[in-house]
Amino acid sequence: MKKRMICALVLAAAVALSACGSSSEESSASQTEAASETVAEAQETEASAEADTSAESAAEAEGSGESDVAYVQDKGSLVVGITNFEPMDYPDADGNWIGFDADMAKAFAESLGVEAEFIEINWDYKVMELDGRNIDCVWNGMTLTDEVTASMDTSVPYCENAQVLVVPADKASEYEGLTSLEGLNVAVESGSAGEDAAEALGAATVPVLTQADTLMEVSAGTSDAAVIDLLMAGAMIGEGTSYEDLTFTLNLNEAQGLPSEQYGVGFRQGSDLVDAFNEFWAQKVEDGTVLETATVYGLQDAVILE
Amino acid sequence: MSVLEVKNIEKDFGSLKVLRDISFDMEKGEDLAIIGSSGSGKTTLLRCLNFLETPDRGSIAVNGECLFDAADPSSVRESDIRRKRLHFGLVFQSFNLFPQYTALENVTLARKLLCREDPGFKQHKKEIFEQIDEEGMELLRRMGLSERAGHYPHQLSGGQQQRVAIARALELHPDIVCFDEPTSALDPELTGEVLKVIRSLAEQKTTMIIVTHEMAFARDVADRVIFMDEGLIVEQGPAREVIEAPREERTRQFLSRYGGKG
Amino acid sequence: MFFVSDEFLTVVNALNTGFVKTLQLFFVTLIGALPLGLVISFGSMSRFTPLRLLCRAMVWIIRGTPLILQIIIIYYVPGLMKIFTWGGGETGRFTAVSVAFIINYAFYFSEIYRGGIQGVPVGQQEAGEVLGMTGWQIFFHIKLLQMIKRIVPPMSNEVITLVKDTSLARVIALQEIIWMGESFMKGNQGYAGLIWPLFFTAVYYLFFSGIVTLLLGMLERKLEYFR
Repeated sequence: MKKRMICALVLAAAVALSACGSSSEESSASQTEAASETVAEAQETEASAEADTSAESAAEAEGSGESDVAYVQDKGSLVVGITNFEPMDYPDADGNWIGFDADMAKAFAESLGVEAEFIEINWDYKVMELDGRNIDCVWNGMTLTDEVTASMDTSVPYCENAQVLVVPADKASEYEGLTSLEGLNVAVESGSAGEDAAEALGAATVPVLTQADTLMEVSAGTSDAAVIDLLMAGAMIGEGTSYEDLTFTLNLNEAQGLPSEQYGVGFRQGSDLVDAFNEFWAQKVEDGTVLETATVYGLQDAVILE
Repeated sequence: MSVLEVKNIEKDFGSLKVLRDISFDMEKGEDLAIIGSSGSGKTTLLRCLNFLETPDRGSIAVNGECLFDAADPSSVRESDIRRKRLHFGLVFQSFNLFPQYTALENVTLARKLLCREDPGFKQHKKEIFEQIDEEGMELLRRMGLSERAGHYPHQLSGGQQQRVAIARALELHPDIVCFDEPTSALDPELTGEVLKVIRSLAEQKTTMIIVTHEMAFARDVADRVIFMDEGLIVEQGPAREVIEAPREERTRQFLSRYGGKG
Repeated sequence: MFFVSDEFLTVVNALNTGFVKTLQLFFVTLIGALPLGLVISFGSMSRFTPLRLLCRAMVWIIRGTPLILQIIIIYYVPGLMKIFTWGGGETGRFTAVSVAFIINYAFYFSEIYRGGIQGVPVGQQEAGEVLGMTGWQIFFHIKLLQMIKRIVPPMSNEVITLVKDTSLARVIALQEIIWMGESFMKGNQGYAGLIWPLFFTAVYYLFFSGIVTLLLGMLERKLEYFR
């Protein structure tokens, strides 16, 4: 009697569970269907303006079932992970994010029919921020190093850059024409392209949190020199800053006999936002928007127009 | 009818038998002194009566009502024990006054918490509390402490603290008041004021069990004396008889050691 | 004069914004961790062995790992494991950091509470019991205040530490006061390459920890009426 009761109970539970399972599967399936329908609709409205772009990405969205474009459009915002990096992303006097990257990111978001939202992140954790969906892209003068391309899907390169050596101005002459940094303590941003370059030239590196911190190291005399991006060095040292006594001398890319570096935008691996970006960018290069915006921030020589 | 009936109480701490087959009765208004050397089980016996320890065997009845029976698990339910405790009051050797309350608050705190369970408390809260405070002041007056009602324990001498503790035990009108060596933690010159208070309680026919080393006090104040040794009741009888003419050899030996004090 | 210059006012304005975030984190942590710590301390004193062991193990884990690591784990791991995301915005980051701080500090507090509760003489418990009080009455009316008196000095240390620990939140880019101070090194609101704002944040910390020290000192003196 007792045994039979237990059997009946177990059976009932199993039936109830399987019923739950199938119903939730059904509902989630219908949800994805509905979602992809709305995406298709949204892209149809765009289709008149940008015919082949939307057709392609819509096809991809239906194919993979996990379209990043659809995800971004669904929540209505493109979350852009940045650090404070003049002239790429930095706040104006009213606290609004401006800069070459920021302005182009706003335009890209607009092309997707969403708002751009800028979030400052800890640069060391950019991949985790992306994979954890806290942000949708890293767009912040990011040098396309091997580490970057291995952990994210990246866009076409859009800007040239180089790593430069920052030293106290009164000692600048000592560093001219160096081909090796051996015996020097060089402050670098942890995980940056500058760190790789300094190491390649034999320096003892001092990794710190931000490029800005490296300048304090040199200024305070705790490091002999720092390696940072050329673009940043231009904005952050010299007249009117706390680093009037610093200057940059050496182009580390030239010293190594390497080609200059390139900036790109990082997306989640497998994201269809990469294609959406590349097509957006090609169009903006063609209609002159890229050059125009780059000129505003003094990057007309660095930007890639091909 | 006996106010207290203790039957065959036994208590073990591991393999150590602390109480062995303890049985005794008390009449209302009777004063019982328990004497014996340290480790004889006197304090454990008092703690069993107050449910601070649970006996392993035996039973305890007050006014004919069985409060505890080791053979009947339903009599040891935690929820009931709290009410059962109110039949007993306990005065500790080390006073254990609540340091953050004044003398009067120490005396009235438990009553004020207890009366919240009464029906109609909410409507008459103010009158009830005034009544309790009045009774508390009266008790302190009887202890000779009316001037000290607003003092905190650390502002009182040891003898004064112990008298507050006695008032606190009396406030809940227990059937039996237990004293666990009430003067042992006091300087010799302060024991007198505490013993005087206990003596006056005896004169007012308060039912009391007093664990004490003060033989002369036990002889003069108690009606009856129990002598315990190694967890056993060795001898019991009228106070004067047991202390002045003990029948048992072990009692004699114990008394001769404490003779100087008596 | 420097203290009325645009540069100074802009920086102070930004530091104030960051300091408000710092204060929010400080108070949210206290409000959450003070009671939660008490619950945990009961757990680690429980007579139910599995619960007691669980609480002791958690104390070991939380006290044995750096807070900065706990912040990173709590913020990033749910998203990486596709369980949920806190959201990339300031609100999401603040919520995650608050959770990390509350958990961390609750376990620290629980050990201080435990010491405080166990430090109350057993005679206080017994005196309450023989007067027919319930367990809760004994805790709230007798032991709690004595415990508080015992734990105020060690708690003061922890609270002052918390004032400064809030700066760890910037590891996941919460824009508290040190973050704001650093922002002027890179460039913020038209000022770039400024070092002094970072050092100037010390003034805020000193001011606030001074007030906290005064308040806790007052509490300590308030409890001196009994021993």
